[in-house]
Amino acid sequence: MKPVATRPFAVVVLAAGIGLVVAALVMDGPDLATLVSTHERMLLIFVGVVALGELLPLRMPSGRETAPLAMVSGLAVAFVGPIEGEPLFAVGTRLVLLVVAAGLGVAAIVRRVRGRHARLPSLAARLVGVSVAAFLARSWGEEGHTLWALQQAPATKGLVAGLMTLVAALAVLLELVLVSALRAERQRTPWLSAVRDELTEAAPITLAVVVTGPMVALMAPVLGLLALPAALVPLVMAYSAVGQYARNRRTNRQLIATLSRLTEAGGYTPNQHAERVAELSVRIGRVVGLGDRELRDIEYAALLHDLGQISLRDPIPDGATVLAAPADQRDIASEGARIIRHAETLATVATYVEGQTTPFRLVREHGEEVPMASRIIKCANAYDDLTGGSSGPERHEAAMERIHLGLGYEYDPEVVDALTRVVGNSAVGRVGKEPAPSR
Amino acid sequence: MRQQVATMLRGTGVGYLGFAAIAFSMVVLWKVAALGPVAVIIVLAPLLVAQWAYRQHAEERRGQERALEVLVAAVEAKAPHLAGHSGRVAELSEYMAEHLGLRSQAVGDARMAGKLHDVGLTSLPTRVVRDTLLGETSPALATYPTRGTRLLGGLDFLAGALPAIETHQAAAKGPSGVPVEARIVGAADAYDLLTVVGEPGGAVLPPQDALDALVARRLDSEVIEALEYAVARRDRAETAR
Repeated sequence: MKPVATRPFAVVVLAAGIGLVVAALVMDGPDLATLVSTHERMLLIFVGVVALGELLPLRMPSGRETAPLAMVSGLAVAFVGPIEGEPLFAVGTRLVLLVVAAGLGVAAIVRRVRGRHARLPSLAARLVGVSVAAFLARSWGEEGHTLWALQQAPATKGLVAGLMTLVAALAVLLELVLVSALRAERQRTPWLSAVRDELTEAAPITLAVVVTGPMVALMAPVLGLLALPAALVPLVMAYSAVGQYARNRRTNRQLIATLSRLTEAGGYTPNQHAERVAELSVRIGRVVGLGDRELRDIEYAALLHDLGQISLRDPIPDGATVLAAPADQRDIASEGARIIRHAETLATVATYVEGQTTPFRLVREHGEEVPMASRIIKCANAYDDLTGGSSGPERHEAAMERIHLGLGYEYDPEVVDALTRVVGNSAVGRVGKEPAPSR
Repeated sequence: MRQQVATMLRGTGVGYLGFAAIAFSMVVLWKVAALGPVAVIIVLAPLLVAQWAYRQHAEERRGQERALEVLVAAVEAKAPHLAGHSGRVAELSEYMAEHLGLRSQAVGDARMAGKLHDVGLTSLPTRVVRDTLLGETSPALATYPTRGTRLLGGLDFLAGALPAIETHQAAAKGPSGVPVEARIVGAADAYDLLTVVGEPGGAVLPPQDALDALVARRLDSEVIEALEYAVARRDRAETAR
């Protein structure tokens, strides 16, 4: 994690979370003992599930982690009232907040003990989201007419269910926006594209999180604490399905990486060149704000950008296409694209590979449509060819100088700018704390 | 067919269990918690999630198969005289494995090995691969099965097909103790090379002569019989098409 000073937004979110907890402790601290003794069993379960949800994050295929189970459990605590076989959970917003904070705190401590980052800012974001839901459900409106109180009146059940879902949606949305802003700040990528990715990649999961919290509260009067596992089944199903999906995605990536090694094994391209170009391209792509789908395709296209060399009768020197004649470069790119087109699912990837040789000048002067992804691969490939994969400062400077000579003519200035930022700081454009999208 | 059923059951069995749980939640919400029709809306979201996840899953699976086609296309770009060869060997291998009564997993492995048996060629210099057409065989050419297994070694879903890819060449040359999938792919490969791809110079044998040639190499009679069956089945399928 970066020093806090470089992440002002993380500091703000963290301060909000801590502020909420401190305020709640000061105002409702004395009631804590009664709360714990009355709702012992229920509290134990909910704190446990919140912590568990936080410790079992869902790893999306793009490498992002979310904690839907923690959010759902938090929302359930915010809404729940009557529970069959348990005393009525009639507590204020602040005590709800403390319960959820306890669960999140346990998770943070466990993570710390296991030597991992506690990720306090994301925990704080979750707490803020749940607090808003709890406030809207329990404190908003006149005494006895809050959303929470209405759920005990049989006549308005349907309406209550709808309103709860709405409140939950608001809370989840808030949490989502905060979390993606935190991520964007950490990766130095545009905030809007982070929010968009979060919303689109995980849309159905988000939807499930929104309804599952209210579901627990609505089933609890009948099923008691069993409502929790019953409502969570679909979410668990989603966990396993997403896990399976991510595994498949990894397999697919491995398969593409295998294809990228064909030219390496034949001595046509240098070892690991394709992997390095792919890593660089994806990071540049993030910095310029490409979406998840484009990022996946750019990764595949970068891995396969030299595939066309497979049909060359003799290897070109060092496999460095940047030094080859423009006509040869084009032939290699279109041969690669022709091979890739055998998979109709990879049509976009083939287009990206094909476009990688077009100089930026043609985009500027003749309005030729070259995908941003192709421009990125062109630039990343040139950098890696020129440095030979070494990260020494001399090679780096020589490579950047040469690329700058082609600025605006050969290379897109926006991409070169992003490249400069990416190679200058290893945190820029990376997901999570992994060194690279490895495997 | 058997293989498809097996995959389908594995894929959907867990799904049905989940759907049952969702249905249960809906009954509780609608009837017992007295929500009425609103329950449908609430339950819809988890249903959508499940549906979404399975659709994504299917899409990635399809992507996997398509990416394998790219691998085959790479072989054919390297060795244009082998166009269509991998597909034909895969088909024959699958029919043969079925005829020999192998389990569905092994049938899939044999098909996959048939499809990818030449992948190792892609890591050889193009000159070496294409010069075989001129009758020149470099010693490096014989290493292609090993090269293929090395290239595909990291892919878990191909683990079952690797032994056959590695040893099919040896199995095509004469009697050997290699796994049955390797003997299948070896025979199918040899048959297709004799009847369709042809020797350097382009001479191809009629089917019966090719089978006789394989018998002369003292290949497993069981495997030869399966090959005869596979060829007949393919011809039938082609006339029906």
